[in-house]
Amino acid sequence: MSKMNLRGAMTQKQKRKILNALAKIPIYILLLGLSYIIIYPFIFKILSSFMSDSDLYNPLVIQIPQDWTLDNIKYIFTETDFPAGFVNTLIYAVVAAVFTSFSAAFVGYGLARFKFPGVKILFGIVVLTMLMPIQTVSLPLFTKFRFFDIFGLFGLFGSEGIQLTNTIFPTILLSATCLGFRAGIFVILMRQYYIGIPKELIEAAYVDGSGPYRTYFEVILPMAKSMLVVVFSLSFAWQWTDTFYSGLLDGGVKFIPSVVSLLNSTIFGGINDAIQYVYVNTAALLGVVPLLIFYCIFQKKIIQGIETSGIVG
Amino acid sequence: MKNKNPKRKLNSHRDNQYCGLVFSLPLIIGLILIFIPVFISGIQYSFNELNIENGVELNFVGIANYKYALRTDPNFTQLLISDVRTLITTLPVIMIFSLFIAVVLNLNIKGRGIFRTVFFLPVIVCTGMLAEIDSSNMLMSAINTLSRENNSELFSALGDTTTLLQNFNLDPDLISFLSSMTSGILNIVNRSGVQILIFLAGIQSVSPSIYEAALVEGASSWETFWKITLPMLSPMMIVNVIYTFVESITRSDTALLTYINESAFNGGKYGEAAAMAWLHFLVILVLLSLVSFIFVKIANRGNKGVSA
Repeated sequence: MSKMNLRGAMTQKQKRKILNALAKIPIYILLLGLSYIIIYPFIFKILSSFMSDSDLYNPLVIQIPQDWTLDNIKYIFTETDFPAGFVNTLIYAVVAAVFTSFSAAFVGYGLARFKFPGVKILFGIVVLTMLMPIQTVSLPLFTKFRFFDIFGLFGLFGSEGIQLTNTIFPTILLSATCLGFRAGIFVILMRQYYIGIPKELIEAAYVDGSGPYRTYFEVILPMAKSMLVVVFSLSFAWQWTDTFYSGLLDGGVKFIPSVVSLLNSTIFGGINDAIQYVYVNTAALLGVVPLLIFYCIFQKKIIQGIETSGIVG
Repeated sequence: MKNKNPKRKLNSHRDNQYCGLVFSLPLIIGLILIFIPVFISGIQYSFNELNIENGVELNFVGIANYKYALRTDPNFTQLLISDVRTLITTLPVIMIFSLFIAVVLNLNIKGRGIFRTVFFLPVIVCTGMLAEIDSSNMLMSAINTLSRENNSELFSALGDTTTLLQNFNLDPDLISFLSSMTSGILNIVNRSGVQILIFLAGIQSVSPSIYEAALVEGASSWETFWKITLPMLSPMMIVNVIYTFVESITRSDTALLTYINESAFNGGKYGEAAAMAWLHFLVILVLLSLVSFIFVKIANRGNKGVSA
């Protein structure tokens, strides 16, 4: 009797196992479909960047090129400003990411651990900078850097301020002062992370005789490395593809996005523009390849960093 | 020992205040040097007529710019309303979608890490430039569809969903509905990377013993989701709502912001554009406080449900 029961239970268990496995099939289909939607633009760009002129007008070619060619890539590198744009984008993105991560790391600590007068106001302003669409102040921001001046100090010498637009200084100034692209999010991320660090650790460092700065540089900052990676990668990636700040403040400097959108603006939808269309996609693809490689290397750290950030819990 | 401790504490308290200021110095300098002047002149511009031939010349006009934005300008109010409407409709969709995906990814699935990586990919890559290109790609495909009747072989290589569907000889209305839905899905998927991660981390932080207890009590997985997972996720819900909100208003490709930018830098209406931008910001602030108020209310009720 008991054996029978056992056997019945076994089959039921097996049944449930099979049912569970079957129930997962639609989930896999859904996830694969959504992943396909995300990856499709990249596949499409990769395949179309190897298409030759004849493939474009060949009705038999739908996605996979018949006659593979490197001409499009060659064209991007030789006939457009892509190489110059690439170098500029790389420099600006690295500079912005380095300055942003360190300023966010400092300010986040200041806002997380200390209770100086005005700390709440300061935090409120950080939230405000995050909420405010930067377009709201695009014109004053532009004039600020076009006629850069510290409290009218340069005005005393008769100049109307220094022109900082089309140089790297606006990027440096904005990212070093936590006012760069979405910098508010980074400050808040860092702050949440510091709040999660147990107080006893800092107290212990104090008791051991290290001051607040030494504690920060020798204990806290090394601990916050995982979060710094997140901030660095996100600010790097967002600066890399940013079109707003670079367009407003450094309109004269060539970046990958501006090169691509210049290419894009020459398309009018005519019959002969098919190849132009391919050029745009190729340039965009080449522009994000470094980001893709970067992401492949760091994705585990980025994702883990966000998951363990203080935002949750 | 007892004598030493209070002194230590007093000391660390005293330099606390001063040290915090030192750590926040980058931000404070930035605020004094850049943000506050820019903010103030931004407000100032909206009350003036501007001339930026050489330097900035201001001409005080009172609230004429605001009047212009609200009454005279043909597009501003319409774009504002439509922007707000899209925000209100996409916000819940993104929330539900990312919660759903997070729950699904939390199931015992093979290749979970890969899916997670793929879903986060748009956060890294698809902001700014690619979004711009791809939105005009869609424009391109629309043009393709129109011109296809004349020269059917043109662009045959650049296939897309529409072409695929057309090959099945479906009703054109159905095709346009389906292709707009696919691009809608793409939009939603592209924008929920961070939210999925935050929800996923939230789900994983719920202690398994609660689920075990529920299982022992005989709760179905449907019930555990509504009675345990969802209420436990309410803090993450608020974070995600705010993040989604901020992300969707600060992306520069909304119709309204493009319009404001164009009327400033191409139309020369600097003062009017400033007024519009401030009105937009005001609406955002009101809306955000409303939405977060509602969500905090819901979250509180959810928490009460758990404790009861």
